Amino acid sequence: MSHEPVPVPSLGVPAQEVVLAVRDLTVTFPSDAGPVQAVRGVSYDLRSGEVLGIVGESGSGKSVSSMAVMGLLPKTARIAGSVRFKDRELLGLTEKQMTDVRGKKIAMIFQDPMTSLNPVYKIGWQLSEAVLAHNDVSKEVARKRALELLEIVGIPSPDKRIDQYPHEFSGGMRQRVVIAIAMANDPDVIIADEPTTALDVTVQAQVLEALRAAQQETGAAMVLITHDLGVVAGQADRVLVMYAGKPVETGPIDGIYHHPRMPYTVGLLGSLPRLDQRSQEKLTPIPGTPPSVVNLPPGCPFAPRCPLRTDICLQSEPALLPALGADHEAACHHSDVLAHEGAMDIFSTDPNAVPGEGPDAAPNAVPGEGPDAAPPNENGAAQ
Amino acid sequence: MTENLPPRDPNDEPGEVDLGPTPGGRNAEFLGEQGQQPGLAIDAVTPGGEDVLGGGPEPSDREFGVQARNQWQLVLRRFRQHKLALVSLVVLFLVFVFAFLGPVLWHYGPNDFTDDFSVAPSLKHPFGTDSNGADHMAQVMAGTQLSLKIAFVVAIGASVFGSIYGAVSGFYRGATDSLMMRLVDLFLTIPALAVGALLGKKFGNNWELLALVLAGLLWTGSARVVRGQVLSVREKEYIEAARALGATDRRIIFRHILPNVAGPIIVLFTLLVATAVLTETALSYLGFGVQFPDISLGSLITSGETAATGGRGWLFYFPGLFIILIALTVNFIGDGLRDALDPTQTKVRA
Amino acid sequence: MLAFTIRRILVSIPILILSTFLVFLLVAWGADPLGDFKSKNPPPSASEVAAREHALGLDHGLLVQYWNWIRNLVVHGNFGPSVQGAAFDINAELGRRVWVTFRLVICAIIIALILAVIVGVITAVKQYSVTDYVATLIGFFFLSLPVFWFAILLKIWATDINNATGTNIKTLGPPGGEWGGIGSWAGYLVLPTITLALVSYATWARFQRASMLDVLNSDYMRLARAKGLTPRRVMVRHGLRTALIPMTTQVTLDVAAIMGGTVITEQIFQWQGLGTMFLNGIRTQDTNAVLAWLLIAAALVIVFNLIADILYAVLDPRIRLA
Repeated sequence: MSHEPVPVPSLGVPAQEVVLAVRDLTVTFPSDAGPVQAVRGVSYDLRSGEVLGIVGESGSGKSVSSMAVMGLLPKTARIAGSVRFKDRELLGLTEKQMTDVRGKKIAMIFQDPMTSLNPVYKIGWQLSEAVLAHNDVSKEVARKRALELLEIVGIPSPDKRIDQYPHEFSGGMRQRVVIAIAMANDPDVIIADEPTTALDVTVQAQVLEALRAAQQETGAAMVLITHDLGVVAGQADRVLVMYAGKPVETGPIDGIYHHPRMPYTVGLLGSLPRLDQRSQEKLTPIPGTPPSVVNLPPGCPFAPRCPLRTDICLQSEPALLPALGADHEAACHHSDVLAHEGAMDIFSTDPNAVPGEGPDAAPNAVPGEGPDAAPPNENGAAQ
Repeated sequence: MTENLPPRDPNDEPGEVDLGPTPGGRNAEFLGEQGQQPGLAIDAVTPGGEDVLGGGPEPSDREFGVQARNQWQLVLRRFRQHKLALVSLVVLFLVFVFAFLGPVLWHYGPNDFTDDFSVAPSLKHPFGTDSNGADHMAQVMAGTQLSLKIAFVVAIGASVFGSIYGAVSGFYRGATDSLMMRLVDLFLTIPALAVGALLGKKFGNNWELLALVLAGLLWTGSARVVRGQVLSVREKEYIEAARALGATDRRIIFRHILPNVAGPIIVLFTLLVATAVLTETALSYLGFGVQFPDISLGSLITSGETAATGGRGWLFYFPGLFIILIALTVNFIGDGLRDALDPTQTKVRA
Repeated sequence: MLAFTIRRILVSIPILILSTFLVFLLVAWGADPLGDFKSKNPPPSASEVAAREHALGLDHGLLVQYWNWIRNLVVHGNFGPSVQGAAFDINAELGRRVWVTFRLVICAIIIALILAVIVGVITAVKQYSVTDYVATLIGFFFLSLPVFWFAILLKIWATDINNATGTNIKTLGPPGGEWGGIGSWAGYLVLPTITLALVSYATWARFQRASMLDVLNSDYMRLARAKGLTPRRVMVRHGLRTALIPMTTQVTLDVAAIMGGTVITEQIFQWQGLGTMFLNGIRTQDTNAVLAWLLIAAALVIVFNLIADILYAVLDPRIRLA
């Protein structure tokens, strides 16, 4: 399969070398209940040195798509589409061929640091192993490199720690070791699959710091997968929002955070507690739960939970298209509605909000709002 | 001793070391993660850890009662999918019919001496006859019946006692638990078969006492497993949650701990039946179990042994066949139950 | 590590002592050393019985008897007199027979272990394949097999094979304990080893499979692959190495149990090992012989439990803190 990748329009980003080009990636698993379409057509370009944040809930397919890139999915998975690393097609490579890529060109960091490391081998040994796997050097050289790596990720007293076992490390430190392993061979791409999800907030910062150091040290491009918008905000250049196995909004981070054009993104952003939020304002969660990707009904998978839904939403799934008046793409039939003011209010806490009507039409009953009228919010909508 | 003991349960902790966070957790395959609410209808979970099916409202949201009912329906349904277990159930049932109904229907008794000495299997004597002219099928019927009776009595006795013992130990934890488990350790220093032989000789004339002796030797497996289960369930967060919601001790025990422990107990019970049959027949064969005039499949083999070398194999093969049938079917049923009760099974058909 | 070991040893000692007492109680309850004597025809008089009892020290209370026995054992290394006649020196018998049994046990363990690991790994890697299914069925079959019956079957088959092909597979142990050369050894060992190894193999293979499956699905295996290690290295260094840990412990524990299980195998193949000594002891109500065997069996269980714990700590660094 040697075709030229069709460039995905990504406006507003300077042209750089594309290190990872994913096109129409689909992953299906067989199950007792029928085929599970975990990933239903993901496409993105990852440029050298940039950080792409992939955001979504559990079950959105974000982890599965990255595992597909690394070839780490179980044999029962049916993968289609294209994943090109610097013009080399990765899908369909044999396991032996993939071992050349993994750890050397593309490295991965996993979610749970407590179980990622082999408990019976010392940390130093596991680090050296990563180095020795791809470099013909002596054990001493590998060990020196291991020490170096531990320092870069910020492990205190590396010369003592290097001979310890994983269970003697805290969760945050273990994750930093995993990051060190990932950067051991100066990969071109680092995929971090929910690196901070299993950690406390205070530890998160340290791990993110280590990630940043890893990126700087290696100059690698990074795919940062998470459900935490806060993490993405601090680290990513571009964002890809996934829902039910497909990207629903993608583009440079500022555009998405300030001018979301897909109701799901709006909901995600709205459900974040914010420091500048008034204390009387309630969090507006998105009603309902994500759909099962076993037998998806036709139409937009977000429709059942979407306050803007209309008939067309239930009939045809919207394509990812450049959004009106914004520098990114969104998959929504009504993304232009969100271009208007009041976009952030579409998820009113009033469960009787009538779908289809503009956000201003519905009685914006926000219980808990005190008698003092709150000043207009950031988007200029009247409260 | 392992010759006739059940699949060495990986839940047996070596000594007193708790093998808690072993690579992946040893319990997973054998007894399943019983602590989970087995309410999820779909089981495909990728090894990557991502729950691919973020289904609808979790069944655990519902009230306790409704959830418990669904649990057993689910178990039944899964059991039905295990073809081998179903077949085994049928076969075992037939064996029971053979053993208990057979003697009523069959016109020969095990001690009726006819004139057909050492006759090979024929229409008149489907299993042949022995050197006294006694019909072998009648003998096998009697032997199967007794061996079954003993096996089930042993299994029930050992299960009940072991489960209660283990549950008490696990529930009270602390010093009580330590002491009780030390006692189990002590018990385990003595090989069951050997002591069975020793005491069996003394009590062999009375099969009920023999069964009691065997039960008294085989209960430790149940105790350990049940204790382990109770300990782990106790720690689960839903117990805390239930307490926070105001559940009484009784409710917690009956609604939460017992249903989660019932599974392993049932599975262990089936394994015990198999073990009991194999142990009893071995002891009877050696002469330390069931004694004359009672007939056990094991004692039949004692007399059948010489017959086999003398060309009269039917006196040897039939009893052995029935022992195998009992143990095998019970093992398969136990395996089916194990699968049915384990909610984390991932039988993904490629 | 050292502290761990010492602690474990210290804990074992009281268990050992209690165990000897328990063993003694069981034997006292279950066997009457004068049973044979009393059931002689014509029955001996009460004074004769009393005399015998006194000679054997049976007229003391149970605790005193226990104390005498233990003291005799620990201080003099003597298991006491046997009712099977003065010529039957329990100590000497033990010394001789232990090697016979040992031979059998070692062979059985090695064969069972090697086979179990191989089959366990293969069936785990090829989970749900036909190979896995068949291997599991075979395992089930072995576990449901009455070993004594199967041993007899083996003897029958061996005789047939011998007649058909002229091989010399021995169906009984060497008469008079004459083993001959290595070739002859093999002839004697074949059948009993198969018999003894069977159930252990089945249990261990399943266990290894389960252990391997746990490891194969673990996160660190995934990380090892993600590092770009060759599949072989991932499987051996990260998979097998970790999967063998529980297996090692399990095997160590089962060793002691196998020792106990030789009772049946030795009986059927007429090997003059510890097992047959035990059974003969029960038949003749030779309490001291029976006690000796039970004591050894119990001691072995405790010792191997200890070894298993220590071994586990050596292999799995997480345990060392316990």
